[in-house]
Amino acid sequence: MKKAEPYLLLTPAYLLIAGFLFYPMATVFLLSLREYQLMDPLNTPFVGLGQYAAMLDDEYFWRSLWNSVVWVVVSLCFQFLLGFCLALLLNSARFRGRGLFQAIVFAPWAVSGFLIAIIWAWLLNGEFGLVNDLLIRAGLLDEKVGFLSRGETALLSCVLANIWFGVTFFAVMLFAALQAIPPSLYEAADMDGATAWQSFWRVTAPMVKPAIVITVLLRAIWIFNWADLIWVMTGGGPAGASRTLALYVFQKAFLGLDFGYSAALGVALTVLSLVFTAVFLRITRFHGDEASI
Amino acid sequence: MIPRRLTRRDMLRLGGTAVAGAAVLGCGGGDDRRTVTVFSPMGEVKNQALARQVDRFMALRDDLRVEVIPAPWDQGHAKLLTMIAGGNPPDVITATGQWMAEFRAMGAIEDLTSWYASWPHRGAFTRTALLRCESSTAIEDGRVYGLPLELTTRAMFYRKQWLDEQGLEPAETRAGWRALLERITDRDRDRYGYALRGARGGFWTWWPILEEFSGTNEWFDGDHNCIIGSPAHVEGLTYWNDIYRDGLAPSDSVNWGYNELVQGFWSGICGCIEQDPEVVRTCLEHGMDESTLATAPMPAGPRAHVASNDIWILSISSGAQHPDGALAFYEWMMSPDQLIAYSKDASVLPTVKQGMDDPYFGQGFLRPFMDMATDTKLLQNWYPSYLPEMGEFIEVLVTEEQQKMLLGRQSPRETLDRLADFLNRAQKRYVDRHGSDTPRPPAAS
Repeated sequence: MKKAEPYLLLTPAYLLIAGFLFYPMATVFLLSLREYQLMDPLNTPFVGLGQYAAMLDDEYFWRSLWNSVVWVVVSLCFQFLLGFCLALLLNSARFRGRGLFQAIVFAPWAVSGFLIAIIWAWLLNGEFGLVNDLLIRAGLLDEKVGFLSRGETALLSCVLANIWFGVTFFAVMLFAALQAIPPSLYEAADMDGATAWQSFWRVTAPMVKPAIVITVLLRAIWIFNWADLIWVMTGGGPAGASRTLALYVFQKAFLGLDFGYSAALGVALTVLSLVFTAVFLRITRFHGDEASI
Repeated sequence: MIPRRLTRRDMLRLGGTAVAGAAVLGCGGGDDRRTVTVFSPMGEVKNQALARQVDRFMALRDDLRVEVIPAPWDQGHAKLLTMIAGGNPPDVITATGQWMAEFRAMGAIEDLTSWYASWPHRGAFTRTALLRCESSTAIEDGRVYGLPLELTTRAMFYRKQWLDEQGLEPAETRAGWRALLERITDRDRDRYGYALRGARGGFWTWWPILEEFSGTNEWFDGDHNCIIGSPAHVEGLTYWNDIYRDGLAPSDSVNWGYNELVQGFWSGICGCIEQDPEVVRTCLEHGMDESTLATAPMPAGPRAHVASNDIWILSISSGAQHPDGALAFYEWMMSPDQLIAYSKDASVLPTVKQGMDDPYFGQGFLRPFMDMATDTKLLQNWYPSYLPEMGEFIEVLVTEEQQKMLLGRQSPRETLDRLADFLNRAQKRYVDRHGSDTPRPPAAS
């Protein structure tokens, strides 16, 4: 009885994980092996890996995957770089009015994705958008540009909104990590005659690396799965120019009502996230025990 | 005082109290009235009008609670399907005529024939409304599965001031309409002729044009080959595409769905849109009036004059949780007085004879809608809603392909060829499963 006690105590947790994590995942996987269209619910033949084979031939899938790569990589790079710069700035002892600035900087994170999308859609509006107006007044544009209605600019416009939103996340997390670095390390580096550049690379960078790895990983997965910003701004258009894989899953399931195929797409999305996570952790040589946040 | 540590017994006591408290709270304050659910996917204006009717009903019946489950029109079909497939259907269903055959085939709709036989208002409906019920299979071979809540059709909305400035009248033909768009477009003043629906739902605006140019509402020939790629259909799609390509609609409109479209009209960017009658109410709410708004019948195409007619039907779900309560609401709602009250509130077309003589519907902004809805000579817009792939076709494929065309990446011919290719496969699958006797469009009279 004594031996069984730990397992008994853990059982509720296992049951919860099984019920709320593994069961839905298994259901989605099983659904992906069937042809299941909601408009024909009585006719759901087992097709094995047929949906996955169809996915490989689906030009929309490959296009969406490529868009997802652009969406994640460009958003993430700028969010990280700008967020890190902001965190360093906020961490600077000489920075006056830090408290106020901190509150302003963190504000976007409190705004819902839906509102952000609406705000940016208006800013980039082709007829009455502020961005168009400013660029024309500055002499950078001759005539109005429909940023969201041109294939070349639609996805990048969504990326721009995403960067604005996500910089804050990196700033918050990295600022917390910077605050945790003991000042004595900088004092020691100073006494050893290190330049500011050397202090950054030899003290700051290694100390915040665990925070960077975790935040980049989390944010990459979130951005990869995040569809509502694009959905509200462009609906994935025009002509799929801004459709990402996550949005494609949504469209297939809730607009096309093809639950079988969208389940297969969802499984692919999960597998890609897992592969990315494994590769990323391997490249960054990250181990959980390093985590400081 | 040093706080005492909580013992296991204390924890159990606290936990027990919390659970008991929660149980008491959970039980208290409940509403013991029976709740009847009404699914209403008709769009905001109409959903709210129906909700106001429900409030009036509840004021009369304190033993029943009626809950409206609203949904945007373009998500209504998917949501209703999900509710039914998930085993949680609403008690009362509002559905368009286009969905009726499908939901009946699923066994989701209750047979109301015996109730209808003794209903005192059975003679109240107009002939047009009953015919539409029959063509949608809500009434079939004398059996009744739903009754007409409202007629719906499309007409053209114009910014009257823009027409007056140019000395123009609403166009009667597509050629005249194109010329009108050119006249009222003035890009220097941020004025565009047409609020074009380039994103979701664009299909509902360009498909009737293809019917006007081809003179038919058929999609497949006798051998089940899709015919929407014919030269006449291509001509129709080219006409629609050219409106955008020639700058008669805003460049952003390639991404416009319903909301942007209607907003683009009342906000003064665009000179006209085609829409359903309830948009009259939206325009009036945004400050338009007789001096700034005009409505007119849809222009006729070279080979047909098409009416995008439909009907909203009220039915009772075969899986209703509270069939008696559902029928009580249904009976009250379908009485002529309530139908007229609802139609006026939502500014839609009535289905009962007593509405035909009401000046509210026969004059003013709703007159062109009434003319379109009751003119039996017009070609009836139709699409093959029996194909399970139609959801994907309209919501995903068409949007993608029409946007490619609007951006100049493919021609109207290529667009229709790709769509026809998809439909050929869908039709073949349907014929393989259900036989070659597929539903057909209503014939032109």
